[in-house]
Amino acid sequence: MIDTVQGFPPSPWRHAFRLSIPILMGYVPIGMAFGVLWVQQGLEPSGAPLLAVIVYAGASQFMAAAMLAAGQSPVEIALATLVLNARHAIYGLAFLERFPKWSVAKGYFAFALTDETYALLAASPPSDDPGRDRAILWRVAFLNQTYWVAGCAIGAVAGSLMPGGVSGLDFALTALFIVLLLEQVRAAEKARAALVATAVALAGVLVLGTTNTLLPILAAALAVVAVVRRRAGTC
Amino acid sequence: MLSGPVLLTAVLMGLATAPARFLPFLVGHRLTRPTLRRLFTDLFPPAVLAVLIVFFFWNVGTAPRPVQAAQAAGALVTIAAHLGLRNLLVSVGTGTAVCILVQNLWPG
Repeated sequence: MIDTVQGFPPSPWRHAFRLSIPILMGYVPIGMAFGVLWVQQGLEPSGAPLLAVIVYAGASQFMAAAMLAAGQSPVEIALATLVLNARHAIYGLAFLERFPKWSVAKGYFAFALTDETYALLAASPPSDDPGRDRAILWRVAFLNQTYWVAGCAIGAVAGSLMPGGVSGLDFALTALFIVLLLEQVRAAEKARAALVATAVALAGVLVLGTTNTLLPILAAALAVVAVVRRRAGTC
Repeated sequence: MLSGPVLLTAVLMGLATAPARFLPFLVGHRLTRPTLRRLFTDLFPPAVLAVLIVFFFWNVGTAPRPVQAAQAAGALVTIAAHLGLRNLLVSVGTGTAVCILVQNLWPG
């Protein structure tokens, strides 16, 4: 997977860019959709990239646009954001051993660990060199946020001139998740975890639907995976 | 020029996301045993991916017919390409290209 020049691995930036290309394909069109929506709600265009820089959470940003337009207060929006983004607490734990000490890079990585960045990096095998591994991790996170900010800014500036962009391009994120899952389920234990989580998620969305239910359904799926593993006697 | 409410909203939302993002890195070492860490690093990633994929495709069920067909075709091509070539960029690229083509060339 990793190309080399005269036996040397590519620079961390080059490696990170190659890893992040699927996210680029997904984040720019979705960010543009957010920027367009933001402007169409009558909000100042500069607010779209500002949220992308400070908040950097897609679902929360779409929610904020709708809530602001509906006249809800900043405190109400912040509380909804707190609940919606609570799932991020699960993601950080996967990288504790890859970032053992605090640094600016670790702080930024913690901030920029979105659903997609987590999915991409948690499923990618770590580099043998821990320092290089950390260098790649935070660069991927940084590049991904750059794509998101750029998409939001382009959408906000273009406004109603580019209402949809290229429809279907955002499928890149779904395709990325599919590929990462295919790679993960080559190991029997991981395949079992994915199957159990799929069953719980299907049951959850059948009963609860998909509106504001990602966090409870995700928590339930992970709890069941943990219980099943414990009963299998491997933990 | 940003209005006060938008700026305040952005700052408060940023603060609201901070606990979930930073707490695992601040206290995770103390809270998790090695066996639990293995759970988080080995088994939870495929489980999270599976849940996200279920949500993606469940929402496609309420989308217009061209979107449903495009997403189904894109998913099948992505899986086939990856099982055949096992190259992340090729798999994502071909699946996405097929999705775009089907969605934009759908008759009517």
